[in-house]
Amino acid sequence: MSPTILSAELSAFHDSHRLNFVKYARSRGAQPDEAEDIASTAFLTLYRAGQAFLAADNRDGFAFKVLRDTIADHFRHRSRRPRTQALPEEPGNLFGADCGGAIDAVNCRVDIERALQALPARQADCLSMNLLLDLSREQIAHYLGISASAVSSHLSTGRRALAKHLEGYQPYVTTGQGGQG
Amino acid sequence: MNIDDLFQAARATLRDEYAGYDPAAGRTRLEDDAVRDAVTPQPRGWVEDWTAQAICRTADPDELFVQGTAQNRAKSLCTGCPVRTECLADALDNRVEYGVWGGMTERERRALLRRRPAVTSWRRLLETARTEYARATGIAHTQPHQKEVVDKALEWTA
Repeated sequence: MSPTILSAELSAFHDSHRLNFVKYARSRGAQPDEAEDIASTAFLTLYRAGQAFLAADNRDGFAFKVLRDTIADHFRHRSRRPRTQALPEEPGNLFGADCGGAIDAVNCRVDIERALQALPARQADCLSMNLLLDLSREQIAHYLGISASAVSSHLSTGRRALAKHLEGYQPYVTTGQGGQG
Repeated sequence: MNIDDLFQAARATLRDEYAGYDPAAGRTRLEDDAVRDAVTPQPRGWVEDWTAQAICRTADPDELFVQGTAQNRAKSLCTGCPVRTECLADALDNRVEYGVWGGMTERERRALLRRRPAVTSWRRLLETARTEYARATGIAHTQPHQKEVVDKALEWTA
């Protein structure tokens, strides 16, 4: 076995949560390589926290807070950097995709991410973790440091708000034939 | 299309994107980062008792409290001083009028104070600028880069 600087506990935690962290970063609008960077930075912060993290009552919640802060830092720094490439043209409407083809499905995810941003943070977190990352209510409760029933409540309220927000949804089709439902 | 269908499609793309994802690569990267972290000197904090570490503590005071162009020669003593920024902040905050402090002559400090009359705490400004500079450049020991630190502080207060 090769020598390692990481404790077995942190390694195990990393392996079981990294994918969730990367996906969560993606759901907040990070590009694939950015999501990997964000997850790596978050885990490095946890490594630096050492015992404070390992002795925490709720490690999932501790780590998730670090992840959220890292994402916020990432976007704050990114907004200060000069853009190196042109932004893609905005689609004709906010929620444009019939989610049939691969590109449409990706558009669809982007639309959902945007729609989620219009909701209160807790509701958006619960919805994206439950519906995009496929996490159970208990897992979400651990990450957010709230009870499972509170997660259920956020999900239910969030779904209603999102449904209202998506009212009048007009699909955008990549073939250029917009306006189909 | 209802919300469930929308999310189902979005979830499928995310699932496909990360199908077969192996956290081992991430763990290796974390190992590398942790090792680098362990051997990289961390940015120095603000030194409260800076006079004990100043290079000039053993120098002849007359060398620093000179007049005119001799001050520019006196400044060279500050080069490489580990507490140069602390010294400068102290002199600016206390409006010290005479002598070379933190690598700046009387005239340079007066000009700086005139340019930024609104600054209430040079210590806080320079400390923040130094931390930000160290973070942005990855350079832990920022004393030799004091000019850049002061420039950053001026940029913020422009």
